[in-house]
Amino acid sequence: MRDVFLSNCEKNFIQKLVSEGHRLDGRNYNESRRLDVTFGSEYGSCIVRLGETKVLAQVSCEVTQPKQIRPNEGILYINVEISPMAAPQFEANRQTDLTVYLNRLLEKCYKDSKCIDLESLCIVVEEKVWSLRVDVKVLNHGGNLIECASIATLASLAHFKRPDVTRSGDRVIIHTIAEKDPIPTVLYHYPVCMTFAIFNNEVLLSDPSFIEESVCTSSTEEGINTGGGLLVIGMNQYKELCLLDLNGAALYDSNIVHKAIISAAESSKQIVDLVKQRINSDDTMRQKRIKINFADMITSDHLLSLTRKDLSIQLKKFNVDDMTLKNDMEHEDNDDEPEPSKYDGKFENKVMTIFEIYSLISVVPSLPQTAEIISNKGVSKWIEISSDSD
Amino acid sequence: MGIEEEKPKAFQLKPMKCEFNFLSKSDGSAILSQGDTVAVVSVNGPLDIKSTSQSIEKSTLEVLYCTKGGKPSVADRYKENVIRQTCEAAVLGSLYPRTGITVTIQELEDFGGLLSCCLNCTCLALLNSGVSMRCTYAAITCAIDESGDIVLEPSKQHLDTARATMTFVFDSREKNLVTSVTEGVFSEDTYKEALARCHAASDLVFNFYREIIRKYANVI
Amino acid sequence: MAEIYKLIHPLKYFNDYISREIRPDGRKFHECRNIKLNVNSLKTAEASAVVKCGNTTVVCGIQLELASPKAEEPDFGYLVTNLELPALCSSKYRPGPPSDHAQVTNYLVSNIIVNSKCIDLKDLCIVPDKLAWVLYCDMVCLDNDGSLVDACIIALISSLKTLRLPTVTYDAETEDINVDPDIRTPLKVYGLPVATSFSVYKLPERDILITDPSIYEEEMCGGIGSNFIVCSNQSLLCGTQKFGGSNLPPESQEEALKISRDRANVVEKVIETCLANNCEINEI
Repeated sequence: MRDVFLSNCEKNFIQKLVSEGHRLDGRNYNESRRLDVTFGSEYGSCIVRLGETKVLAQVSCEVTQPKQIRPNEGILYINVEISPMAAPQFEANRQTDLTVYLNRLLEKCYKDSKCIDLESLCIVVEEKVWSLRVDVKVLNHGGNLIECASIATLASLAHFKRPDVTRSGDRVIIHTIAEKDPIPTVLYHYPVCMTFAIFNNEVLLSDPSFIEESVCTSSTEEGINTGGGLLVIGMNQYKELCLLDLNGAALYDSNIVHKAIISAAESSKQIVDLVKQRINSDDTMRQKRIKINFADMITSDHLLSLTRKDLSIQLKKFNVDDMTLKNDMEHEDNDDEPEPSKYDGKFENKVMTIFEIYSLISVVPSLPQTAEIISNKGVSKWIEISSDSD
Repeated sequence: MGIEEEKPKAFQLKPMKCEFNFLSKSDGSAILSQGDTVAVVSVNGPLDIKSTSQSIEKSTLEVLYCTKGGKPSVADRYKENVIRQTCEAAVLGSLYPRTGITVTIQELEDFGGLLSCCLNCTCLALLNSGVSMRCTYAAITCAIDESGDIVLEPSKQHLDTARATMTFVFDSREKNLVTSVTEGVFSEDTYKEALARCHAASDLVFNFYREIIRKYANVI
Repeated sequence: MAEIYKLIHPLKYFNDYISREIRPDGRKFHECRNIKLNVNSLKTAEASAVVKCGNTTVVCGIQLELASPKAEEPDFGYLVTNLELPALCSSKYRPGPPSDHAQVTNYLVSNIIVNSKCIDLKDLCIVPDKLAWVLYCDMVCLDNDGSLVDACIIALISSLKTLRLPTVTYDAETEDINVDPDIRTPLKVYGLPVATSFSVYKLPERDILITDPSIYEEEMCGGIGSNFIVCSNQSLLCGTQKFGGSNLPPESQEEALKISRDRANVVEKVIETCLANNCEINEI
């Protein structure tokens, strides 16, 4: 990962702004950016947008063998990827500290909090269980990746439905979605991670943007620690804590954590409600057989966007098997076929020579098990010891 | 063969929908939907890259193709290669020696014609990023279905039963073939016919490019 | 003198040749290099071939293995191709894990074989859902001097043609597998796919189509991997691949299709002569 440098004036400006009670984008201290959840055509795929931060999550499932120590439980696997798409400083196919950190936090929040009924994913004890895999891809890193990624994971898991199975004797039949209605995943509770940026050990900013995140964890130009840090709180809709994580400076005032938890409790409820509401409305849309697609996310009233539906061209009928039709077709269809060029004469000439060349070529069986083309020009630079000594 | 069949039939391409600057952190980005197939592409560059991959005469193009889920496969490498070679023909890399241009493609929905959608979206993102280009390019996919008809922009169902599928990319200056990727068996005449059809359809894609650029850049 | 000229003005050096209707190695634009093919060259492999197209040398060896078919496709066998481009075949490659180029070329080769339908994977199945042949086709390039795909296809297809599968008896009750290497049946190969590579060089006033380019010519014409590859199986096309590089006008394509047809005939003749020669030896 390449380093991202913050200029001193940026740092000082943000520090001063925050101490005066403002934020760069005009929000209040405890105000979050706009949250939006969009679902794709498949079950378990969604894009979560938190301000400019965009994260794509996709759940997929397959039948595998369970782990030895937990023979009656399914497997949940979370994989986070940050490609150069997220921001230019990230490199392709390279794990960064941030990726590992994010992966671990999400695992803590969704695996260790036991929010998913893993036992319901079991098909045959000790033999076959469902393994769920959540692929989290960061599309745009505009700050507060943790919150955005966790909402995306939650929404995709809650939205996901796995194919139904029936057991007949030893065999397990997996039904396609068309054959049998798929089964939703059971979630006991809906945990969400929320990030707070701490400035000067007293100010608490919820949903920090990229620059706020960078400033609060960096030190001043003299190298003095500003007492800032990032606090991550995982909480479910019942206001139960699932995860606490602190990055950066040590806190000497425990009240700040308390304050953050109260604030998190409120917003976690809102977030979970929004996710649930979106899933419900998505479900009713699907029942009405309305097509849902990520294409709906593209706005059309934007200056930088364009929609065209009237893309039509005139085409003739053509059938490969219809050889009679073919002759009439040849020249009519492509109006923009280039005019016969002046090289046409030459081209004919060439073809003649090609035929000559290829008819001159003689293939001879030279050595045992060998055949070669003998033409007058020896392009090969190899010394043909074998054929000479023969 | 009646006279009715002689008449050209209007064929509708899938509706195209595009938005620029979909991602704020990239130098250029675009999201494109062709029918139900959707892809996002981000372009970063020209930027500093490690010295082992630098080239002294032109910029190094790095293309990363991300599937929606699951592990990366050889087929993804192949797609990356197709897209990289095509971009390399279009980008004026010699203007940015010793630098790198990274193109990242994320598939969102696949309902047939994903490769051509990715290629077109990449071209739009390159246009958006302001990287100097020799020409633009347009990709069109067609399939030869069971009955022997050539279908432009086939749907997923078409592709599953098709005898052959072909994807062609044309450049904007001479409207010549830049890239061709085919699957399945077909005769020479079919190939020529499919090529001519895709060639005709590529004009619509170029028009789309022109319109969207004209919308925000009034000096073109 | 010429070497210095080539070093200082690489583009102009090449341009001077091309504008005089000749290629740096003395060939005409449409001339192919000599092909030399040898089958059953490796004693360690079940079937093998070595092919030299000019300097480009590819060795292909096929190993056999028994495995159970996939659950989704119970009556299909496997054909696994692998192409190795070791550091010795060109200064472009570094030792280590397979490069992107090797992966892509291998994918291309296996795609051509699959698309041409020259091997029916059902022929490789012995007992549905229980037992099937796995054909590991390993190709190693000893010298990469351009048109790599062409050489790989020739090597692969001629080794497939010489492959003789041992008879296997399978006891459904005891699940006993009995392999008899003495009684062998040749593998059915439908048709004979042949690939022909072309490079496109752009002179200001016209495009030059270069058949069977060497690596130097490939580099001058838009970089490695931007060849126009036409594959034909008998009279049908089974793939036309081109990735970027100089663009290709329709009339050049027509020309390319014509040349590839002729070259396919020649290559076919080479393979057939070689196989006939091989049979004679075996009979003696």
